Amino acid sequence: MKSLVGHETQFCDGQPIEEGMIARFARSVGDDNPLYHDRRLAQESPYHGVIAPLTFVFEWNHHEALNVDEGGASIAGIPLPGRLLRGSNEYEFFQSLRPGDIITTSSRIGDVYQKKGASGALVFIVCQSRYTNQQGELLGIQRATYILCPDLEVGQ
Amino acid sequence: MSKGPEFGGDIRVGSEIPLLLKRISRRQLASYAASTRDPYPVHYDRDFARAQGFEDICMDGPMGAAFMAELVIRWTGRQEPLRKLSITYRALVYPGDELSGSGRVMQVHLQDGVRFIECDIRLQNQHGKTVATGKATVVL
Repeated sequence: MKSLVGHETQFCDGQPIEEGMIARFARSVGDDNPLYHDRRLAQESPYHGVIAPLTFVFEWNHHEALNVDEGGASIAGIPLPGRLLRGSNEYEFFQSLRPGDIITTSSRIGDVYQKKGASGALVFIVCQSRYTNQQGELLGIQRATYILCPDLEVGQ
Repeated sequence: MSKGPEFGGDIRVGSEIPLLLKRISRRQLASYAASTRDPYPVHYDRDFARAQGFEDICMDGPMGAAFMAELVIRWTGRQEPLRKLSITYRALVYPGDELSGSGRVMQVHLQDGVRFIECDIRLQNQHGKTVATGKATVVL
């Protein structure tokens, strides 16, 4: 597992973010801030248009170095044994995301380490990602820590 | 977006961020998975989730981070002051849970003429159990 440190991925689907995607995200978390869904009101605000909730950019691309697909998770196509849980997320915000932005996610496995948990050995995987728009402007940085529980087999 | 009524010059250590309440529905969890293109069925397929050892579908952790960001932005009235947010997941959240988000100013310090406000944030469920803790850095 340690050999995964340094594994890098870059992902950009080339699709511009649309107002509807932002509004749907905001609605799903129950955030009724009009800046996220009311174009007219947002135009008259200091933002001069719709903006996205701050964590949207980190959640839109699930193509970090650690890729979660329908079967669970893998890194560089290597399936991970056991159950993967989220440990923590650290976000830094640099700029509001706007409709029309095309996001590129650049990720790197920063660290892999073991700790002894109550139910056996736990493997911690730290994934660092940078999110930029089509102008190369930095929107956010994320440091995500996942916990792999090898003793909890899938299907248990 | 107007400035939050309680946000301004009188912020000091111990100031509380106004509470944010969220009732978690099954539909909302599925909607979040769809709106973030998250294909992992544990957030929308109960049979899959149970086969994985979960008692039901469970909330995608970063939804809690969205709640924390909303909590802070309702307080500041704008996005820009929120510079950093961290969240540590402590317990799973299931449909029907009622979460309350709270926050408190732990430290205020000046650096290069900018006021940095460090806050502790917490999400608790209806049983009083902490499901996530976090820290936010706000600048003024």
